[in-house]
Amino acid sequence: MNLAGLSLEHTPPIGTPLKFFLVAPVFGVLAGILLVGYPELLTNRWLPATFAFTHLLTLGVGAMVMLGALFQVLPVVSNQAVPRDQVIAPWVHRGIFWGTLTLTAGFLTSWSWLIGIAALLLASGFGLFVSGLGTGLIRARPAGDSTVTLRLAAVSLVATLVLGGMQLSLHLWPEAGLYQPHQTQLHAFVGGFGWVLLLVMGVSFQVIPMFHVAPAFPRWVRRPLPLVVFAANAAVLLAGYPVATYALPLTMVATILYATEALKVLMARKRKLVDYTVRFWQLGLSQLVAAALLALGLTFTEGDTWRAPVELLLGLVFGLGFVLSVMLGMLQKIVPFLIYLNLQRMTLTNPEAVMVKLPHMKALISTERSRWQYRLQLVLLLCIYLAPWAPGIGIVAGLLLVAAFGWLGYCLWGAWHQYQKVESEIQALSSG
Amino acid sequence: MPDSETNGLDIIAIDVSELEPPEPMERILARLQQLKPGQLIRVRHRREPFPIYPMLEQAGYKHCCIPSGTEAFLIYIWPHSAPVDEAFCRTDATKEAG
Repeated sequence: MNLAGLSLEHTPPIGTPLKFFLVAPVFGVLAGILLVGYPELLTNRWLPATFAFTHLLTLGVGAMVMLGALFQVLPVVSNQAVPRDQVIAPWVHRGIFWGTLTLTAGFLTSWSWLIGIAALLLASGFGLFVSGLGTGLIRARPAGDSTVTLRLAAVSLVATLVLGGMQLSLHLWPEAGLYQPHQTQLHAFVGGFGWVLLLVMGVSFQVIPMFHVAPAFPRWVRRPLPLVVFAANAAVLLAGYPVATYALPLTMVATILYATEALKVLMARKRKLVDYTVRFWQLGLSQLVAAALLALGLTFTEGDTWRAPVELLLGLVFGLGFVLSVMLGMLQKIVPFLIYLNLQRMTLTNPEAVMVKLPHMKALISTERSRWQYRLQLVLLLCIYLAPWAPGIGIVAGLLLVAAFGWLGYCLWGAWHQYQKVESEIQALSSG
Repeated sequence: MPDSETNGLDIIAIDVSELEPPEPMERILARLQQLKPGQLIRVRHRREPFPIYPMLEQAGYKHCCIPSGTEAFLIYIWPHSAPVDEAFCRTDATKEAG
């Protein structure tokens, strides 16, 4: 790995990613409240409430954190910032924020005009982001392994959005004939095993060795595996049956290989201190293996009665087990790191501020707080995995979701509050 | 290293290659605060510490980074007034590698 390619010189102001991170827990809490109100939504993936729940988590939590992180991560992995990031970031944020809320309301009420407004807001938010990210990724030179993988992720994001838009056209313009029932499956597949998986892969190639003093990923993982995942996904998407029958298992095998190699890299880290980011990575990667095995099982078996709950379980294992675990782990590390870095810079550029005592990174989100986040995540997963078979558990799972995201919000806002306090101390000293 | 080869400068070596962020930055900045006239710092790191470069410049220090094998870098940091240049750093890095 070319560690020399890591650059933090062109990173945006701390407010840019934090604005996205701080609002994500709100959507998680809303998803939990929705689950408490509609506990049966985890027993049938085609219910309007299930769509609302899924998009609160995938857009409100997932996209919010991932897009915010990408404004920060792109300059780090490719030495190329998202062009005009400070101009477009607030508009991307507004588009995703209001778009997710109106889409949720649209699904729950089945009011087409709400879904129309949501489509417009989401299209403008994501459109702006993709154009900025795409330009940055095209300009990035030299293109390292992470940059190439992020390019593949960005193309997958566009495919996910196009498929999602086609499915929404059922509510807005049914005569266009763009809606096809099987495209919902493809939308979820390319969003998960394309956009999200490739994004996590590309970022992990850099951040796991950097933050955890671990060895670099093997070369065969960094270059061919993302290409295999992308090519197999493209075959599933474009060639259809029967090619998809062979391509989909290829995606899953590549996924399992990536996850096991990432776990090995984490095992080989030099400092074996208690670190909840590492535990979240380990949890998330193990759930990724489970999700790929479930997908393989569903591909090679037939049956109707048990299939629907297992498909729901696959979504939960991938979305909450893998993606949420990795995001929670990264937030425990990245938010304190960015805050610390910014405060350190401030004290060095303001000689008067040398008297200000900076909070230690571990004081911004303490190990104890991260431990509770991890425990909540474990209990949530144990509970929510049973929900497709036992609707009664849905209420408990919903309450646990509220607790987990409430705790995340408490930790993130607490760290942000500490930042603002020290920042105002520094400013007071430098202006006085 | 004899004075004739170091322009009379004293090289303070620190190794941060096995520390997690932000410890390398903390160690480097703490060591800089103790730097005496006639001294410079040579940092051994597993990556190039880009975040501290702008900080160093603003605080009145110059730097030079020399790759030293796979995932290894030697970063030299000295006050603006010190008689150090890239050639000096390269010579010292070659000796270190040898």
